[in-house]
Amino acid sequence: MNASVQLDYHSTDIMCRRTLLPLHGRFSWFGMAITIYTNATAVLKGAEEAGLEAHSDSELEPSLRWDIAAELGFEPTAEAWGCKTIRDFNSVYLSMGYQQWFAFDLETGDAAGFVTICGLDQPSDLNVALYLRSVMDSIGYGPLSGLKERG
Amino acid sequence: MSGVITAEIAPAIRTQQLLFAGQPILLRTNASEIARYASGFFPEVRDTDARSTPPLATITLMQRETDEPLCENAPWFRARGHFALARFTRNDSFWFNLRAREVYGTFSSSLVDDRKRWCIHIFPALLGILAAAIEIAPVHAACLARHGRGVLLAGHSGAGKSTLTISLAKRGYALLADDWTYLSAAGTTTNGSGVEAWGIPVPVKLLSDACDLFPELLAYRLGTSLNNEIAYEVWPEECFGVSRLLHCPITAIALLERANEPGCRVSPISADEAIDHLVKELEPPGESLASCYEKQIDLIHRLANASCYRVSFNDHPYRVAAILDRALFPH
Repeated sequence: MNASVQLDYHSTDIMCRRTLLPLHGRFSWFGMAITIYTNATAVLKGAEEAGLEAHSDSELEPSLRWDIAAELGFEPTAEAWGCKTIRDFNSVYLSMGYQQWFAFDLETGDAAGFVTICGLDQPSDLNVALYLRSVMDSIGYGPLSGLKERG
Repeated sequence: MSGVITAEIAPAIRTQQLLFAGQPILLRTNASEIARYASGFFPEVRDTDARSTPPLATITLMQRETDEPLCENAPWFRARGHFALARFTRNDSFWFNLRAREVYGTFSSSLVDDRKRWCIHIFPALLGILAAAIEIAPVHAACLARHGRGVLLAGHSGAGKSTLTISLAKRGYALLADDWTYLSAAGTTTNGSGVEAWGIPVPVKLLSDACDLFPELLAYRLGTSLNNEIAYEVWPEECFGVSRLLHCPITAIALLERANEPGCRVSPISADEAIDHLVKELEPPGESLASCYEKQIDLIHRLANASCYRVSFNDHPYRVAAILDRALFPH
């Protein structure tokens, strides 16, 4: 959806809630299992570049679920990149430009977000890499490690 | 890459326990204006028992201390899992964790003065997104009441809900909503169905050609609605002199549809058909909130005892209102 699309918040999937995320990757971060579901290969690649370690353990193993939907679009270049972090009671929210965000549930460790990308089939994307680096910088060594310590 | 910027937020200075569709919610804000707008928009929790009920959701609305210019962008909404984000301008964002029933908004001081935007766009959008998490089912239907009996007017966009709503309100029906009505199990002590319909105090939206039907609109200016339609958004009490009601039980549902042939025909239909229509227009909130969606569907199914009609029309809304009125209240 772009800005010209009607924005009736009740209409069918106007919030792109049900965008299909057919790809997934299993990662570990300091022993914690995370499964990232996405619609862009570059997201899985960017996760590795951001410090998550790819692994192929059984999908039956419990893991945190992170949904990251990529949308075609343009966002700030690396020079103009900024990430605003907001913490509420049970949540951490990251805002990275008008159309990019990531939200993390401090209680469950589950997360979701949207990132813009030049092409869904591209193997890597600078913007996606910056997005995931910001996510891990903001979540990985604070809230996520806190979650791990709580078990 | 520049360093991570952490938003600087002043602590909340006031809290209010308010009602949305009868359900208690807690509003926290550091902006006295927003607290005032909220008091005018949401009913306050009054009785002692309700005050002791823990709020079902917490909405934190924080004005940033830095003074920034209003940086307009088209509103932008996205949701995934139990999270959602609503941006109303480039700098004004509202975050949702629906599992935790939390909403967190930060906004510039420039937005604070815009009471109309809070009451017409921001509060209704927040509630529309939050509803599923607090056992409220928004149904795409207008709602009016007469003699304590409520009627839902359902129909797709363009079916004529708003013009028929005003026409019925002019016949003495109290108006709850012209587009979205909220079903809730709260406040149903006098109602056997276990569900009550609630409205919120938003303007009615009438498209530009509605001034042919309602010349009162000529005294108002057209504007751009949240979904980018050019429309009149007017307070019905002020523009048409009609009365408002906050909530009522539902005893009838009318499915509106445009007909090719001139005239108006009201025919009974099964409650299943009417309920199916309402359920189909309910937006599924996603897999992680499946249980919330089931509760919403259950609320809609509690309307099974309502008398249901199909209203096929190609006629002036005043005449349609008169015919529907006779069908709803034959005596």
